[in-house]
Amino acid sequence: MKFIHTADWQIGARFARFGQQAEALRAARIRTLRRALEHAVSVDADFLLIGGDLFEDDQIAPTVVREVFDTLSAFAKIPIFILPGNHDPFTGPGCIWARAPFSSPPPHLRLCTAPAAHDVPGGVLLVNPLTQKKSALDPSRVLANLAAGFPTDTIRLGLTHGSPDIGSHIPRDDFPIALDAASRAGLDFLGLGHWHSARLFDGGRMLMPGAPEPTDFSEQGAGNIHEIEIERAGTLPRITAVPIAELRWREWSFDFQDVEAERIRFAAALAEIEPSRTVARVRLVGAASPIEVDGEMAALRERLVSCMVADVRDETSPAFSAGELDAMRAAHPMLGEVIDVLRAGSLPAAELAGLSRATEIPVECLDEKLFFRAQRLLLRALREVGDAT
Amino acid sequence: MQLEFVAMEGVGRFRERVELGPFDAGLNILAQPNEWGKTTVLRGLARALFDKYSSQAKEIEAMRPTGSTLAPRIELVFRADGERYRVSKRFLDGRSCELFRASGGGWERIAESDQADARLRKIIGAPAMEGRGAKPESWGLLRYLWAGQDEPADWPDWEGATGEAARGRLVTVELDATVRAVAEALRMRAGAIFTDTGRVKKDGALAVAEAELERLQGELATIKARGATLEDLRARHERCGREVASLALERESSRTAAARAREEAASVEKLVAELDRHAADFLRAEETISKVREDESALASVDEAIAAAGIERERQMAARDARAIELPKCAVALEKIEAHAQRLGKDRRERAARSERVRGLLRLRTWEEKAVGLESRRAHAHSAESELRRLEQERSRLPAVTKSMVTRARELDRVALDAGAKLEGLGLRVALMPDGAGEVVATVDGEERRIAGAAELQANRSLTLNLAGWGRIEVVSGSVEAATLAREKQRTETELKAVLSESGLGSLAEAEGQLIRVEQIAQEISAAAKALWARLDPFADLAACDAAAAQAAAELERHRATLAPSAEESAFSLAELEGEEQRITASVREDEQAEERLATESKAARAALESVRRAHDEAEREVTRLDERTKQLLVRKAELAARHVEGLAAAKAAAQSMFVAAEARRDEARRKLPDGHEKLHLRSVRAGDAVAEIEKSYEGKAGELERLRGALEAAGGEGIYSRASEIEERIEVVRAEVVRQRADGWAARLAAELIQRRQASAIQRVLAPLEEKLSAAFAELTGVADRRVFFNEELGIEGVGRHRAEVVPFAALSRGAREQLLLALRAAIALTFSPDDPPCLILDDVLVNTDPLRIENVLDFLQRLSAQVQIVILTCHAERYRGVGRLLSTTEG
Repeated sequence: MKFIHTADWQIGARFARFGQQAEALRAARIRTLRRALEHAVSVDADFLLIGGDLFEDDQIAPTVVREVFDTLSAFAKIPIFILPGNHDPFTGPGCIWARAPFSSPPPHLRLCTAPAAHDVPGGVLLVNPLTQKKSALDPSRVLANLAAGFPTDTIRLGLTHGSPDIGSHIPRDDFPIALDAASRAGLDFLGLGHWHSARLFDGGRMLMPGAPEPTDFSEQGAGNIHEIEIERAGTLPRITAVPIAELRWREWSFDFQDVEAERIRFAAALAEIEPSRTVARVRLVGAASPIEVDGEMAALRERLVSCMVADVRDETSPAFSAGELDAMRAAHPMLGEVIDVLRAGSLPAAELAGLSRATEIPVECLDEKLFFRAQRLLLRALREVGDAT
Repeated sequence: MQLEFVAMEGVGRFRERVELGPFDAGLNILAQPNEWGKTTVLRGLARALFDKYSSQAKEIEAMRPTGSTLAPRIELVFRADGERYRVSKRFLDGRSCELFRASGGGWERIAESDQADARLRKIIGAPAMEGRGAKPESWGLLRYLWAGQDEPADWPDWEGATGEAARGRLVTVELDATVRAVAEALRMRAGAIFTDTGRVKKDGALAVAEAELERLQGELATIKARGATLEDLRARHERCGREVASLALERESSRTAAARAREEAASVEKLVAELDRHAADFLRAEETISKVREDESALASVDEAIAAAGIERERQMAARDARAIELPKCAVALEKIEAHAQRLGKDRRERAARSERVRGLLRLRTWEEKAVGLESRRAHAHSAESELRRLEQERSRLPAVTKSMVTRARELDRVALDAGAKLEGLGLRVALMPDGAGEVVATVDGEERRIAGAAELQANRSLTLNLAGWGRIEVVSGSVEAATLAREKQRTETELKAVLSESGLGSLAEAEGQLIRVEQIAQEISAAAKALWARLDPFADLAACDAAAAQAAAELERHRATLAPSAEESAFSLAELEGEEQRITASVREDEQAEERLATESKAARAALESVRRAHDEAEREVTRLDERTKQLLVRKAELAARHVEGLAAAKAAAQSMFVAAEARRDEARRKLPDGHEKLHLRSVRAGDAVAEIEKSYEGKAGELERLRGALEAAGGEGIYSRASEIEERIEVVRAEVVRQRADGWAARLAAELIQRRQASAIQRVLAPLEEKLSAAFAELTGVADRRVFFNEELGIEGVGRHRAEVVPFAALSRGAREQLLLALRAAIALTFSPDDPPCLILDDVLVNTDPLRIENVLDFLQRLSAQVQIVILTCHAERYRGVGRLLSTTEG
């Protein structure tokens, strides 16, 4: 038995932090889905599992839903089992699965809208879909009941959606799944979905496959689909991760502590990526003068311009060298005094209140952040004035 | 700068040239009375120094002497930076500007026109001017040093480049240009986002971003509201689904219960049917036994009836035979009565015919009398009618005199007579008393009379006496009243004649006689008419009377022809006829009474005969009926006997046995029925109704569920999440922009404010010496030593006091104190600006409000100051400055 296990496609996901670049990220996910299906066909997989959260939400734009449906429908040779997850639960009429087009799926699309056993080549697939967004019940328990009805020499697969119960930091209503859920239910393999990072549990029988197309920089093991092969009932499944993501989410920090070294390192890193498939983020850190920061940001943006999505963040703290500060103080003592105040990041409360009255800035907004920004602006203005003169 | 000489012409009140000077390098007093033109000199000086010669501003135009077209011309000589200059400006018509510099004992023209203007401003330190007209703001420092009339107590603001420069120079703080540029850049940056008061600038980047954010948030809220609606729909669907499921369960349960109730009801129904069947059997057995008993009873009754019918038949036959004997007797009696009645009838008819004949004769007689009477009435009527016609003819021949006409004539006659009587009373009376015989002819009122002897003549108005041999004497009355009466009398008499002549009458007496006749004949006509109508009555007219008489004659003839009375009959008198008629009538009446009696008797006899016949027939019919009845009873008896072939007793015993058995079966069936069986049907019906109700509720809820499903499917397809995502992504961008803009704006304001505070602080640090200096000068001027002058950060005079916290604000100082304080400040400005080449200080009536006690202090101050600064004081109080400085000489014309 050979099949593909995926989950958490999160089609239609929101990427608010990327603003108008988000649409490109969404479009890439559907292309990746098509590639995953092509791969399944190419390796003669018996079927393909989608372990929940095919869609980010129940209320995805009809055009997108139609596009996904058409994509799935186009691969009629391979049975595709779709399990509703917590993002797209089967809530009955009006939900995404009960509406057109998924309300009338072609035969190879098997919508798992209720706990059931489905025959698959060489075994049986036991499914328990989610019908709500939150629950403290372990959805794998239903699978144990279902599995009891089949002989042990039958390959028994499970498919559900939830959080492996790895500790107290997992919310209790996040569908906790026992870490030995597969073996407890007597399953040869339990396919899960929910987390976007990939992870294997229960001695290799329970797989959280991760998002096939990552949704953030922090996701570990994301960007793959998994080929599962099981020779016979009772044997461990052979699991192979197949990179499938179109986009690579890459994040770098650029530390001003050693600018030259960082430039070299960054250039090397950029040489390794495919910009058109990269979602890039560079965080400028360390202490630097605004002039330096402006310069490096401009340079970085220039280098990242060919990336699909690029985000350069200034997380530096403004800084002058002692020499620069001395020179500035000597040339413009008054500005030196102001810079010192801004660098300090705060003032006595009475002075802050006076400043608030004079500037009409709410006193609670006169914080360190604003002082830093003012410092940066002042230095930039000084630079501009210097340029002008 | 020091003034040396000033001349002007065509300026204000100076139509002719006026010259001032030479000026002293120290204190100069221009003491002239009011309206001499001191202020004009000051303004002209300012125009020459600061206004473009080409200016045609209204202020320049206003310089012309009132009502003239003279072109203002100003010339002045001054010293600046060690050089002597001469400026000659002509404004408006023939405008020109020349700038000369002293050179080798003469003047070298160094510039003219616009260049001269620009050069001059540079020399005196005034900033470049943009417009054609110069306002004090563009005078440079001289704005602060030249105090016009009424200005000394007010201080020009420090705004603008000149003010800024002055402040900087004054406090000897040369501000860092870079710092100013940085501060300005920050202010500009903040100004692009916020207003000076810290509000978000309209149309600024932040305002635009905020507006966009608000719009997007509104849009998002709408979409989220839609999402909430969808969630609500979903919740309602879920709730409705649960209700439908619950109803389905209830429906199933109630269906089961209803089926069970139905089965129980059906089972009981069978038992009841069995009971009913046995009960019916029981009833039938009961009926059978009852019928046997009835038959038994009926048979006995039939036997009794047969016996009774035999007895009655015998009785009826006896009665029939008795009536058969009575019948011939009754018939004979009836025949006798009827024969008598026939005879009596014949006699009565004969007498009736005779009676009719007599009445005809009587009617004939009546017609005869009527015809004679009518003929007589007709004749009398004709006679009366002839008389009436005659009287009317006579009346027609009489004059047409009426009672009113006669009354009118009488009135006129009376008036005429009255007038005549009055006239006579007023008339002439002449007594003729001749001495002898003689005759006098007198004409009295037109009537000639011959009078002999003594006489007395009476005339109304005139009288003429003809005295033979003597002549004629005319006596005429002159009375107006007599004349009026005479005219009245004549008019009345004329009218009387006219009235009478209308009726052909000659006099009033004739009229009165004719009136009497007219009235008499009218009475006669009335009487004749009455007689005629009495004759005619009751006929309407004579013709009707004639017609009635003719009709009566005709009727008489007809009766006579009909009756054709015999001679004997004709001979009967009317009384005889009437007596005969009465007699015959009485006989007829007696005959009729006898006939009535016989008819009664005949009727009674016939009734008796009929009664006997009916009784006979009745008895006959009764015998027949009783025979029939007996036959029927016998048949009935046979039938009853036939019902029970085995015998009535045996039948009775069998029926009783069947009754007992049926009763036992019925009781057994009744025992089988469960308790309350009669309610089971109702319960079954109720269970059925409950099922129907639940079905209805279920269908209603199922329908609602279906509707909600439809709504969910419709709403679910809207892609709310995607729409919200798109907007939230845009919101994220715009919100970041809002945050960035606001933070930038605030940061820029913060940095600018901090720089400004440092500037103010720096200024404050250097203000202290200036405050010391001014405080000393002010103490000298006022003679009050323990007060200090305090400046604010803007270099405005904050006030005067012993401590900063207790200052008396500048505006609250007396006008004199303000004058003195500003004088000290002006002096400081002049000295501070150009210690080597101090500008000229011009004060126009600067000590107007200074009391005499302090004037000495001020004069001391000015005298000491004039050692360093040229001062020009314009005043109309020359006595205040006696012995101080130099009185300026003026040359006019």
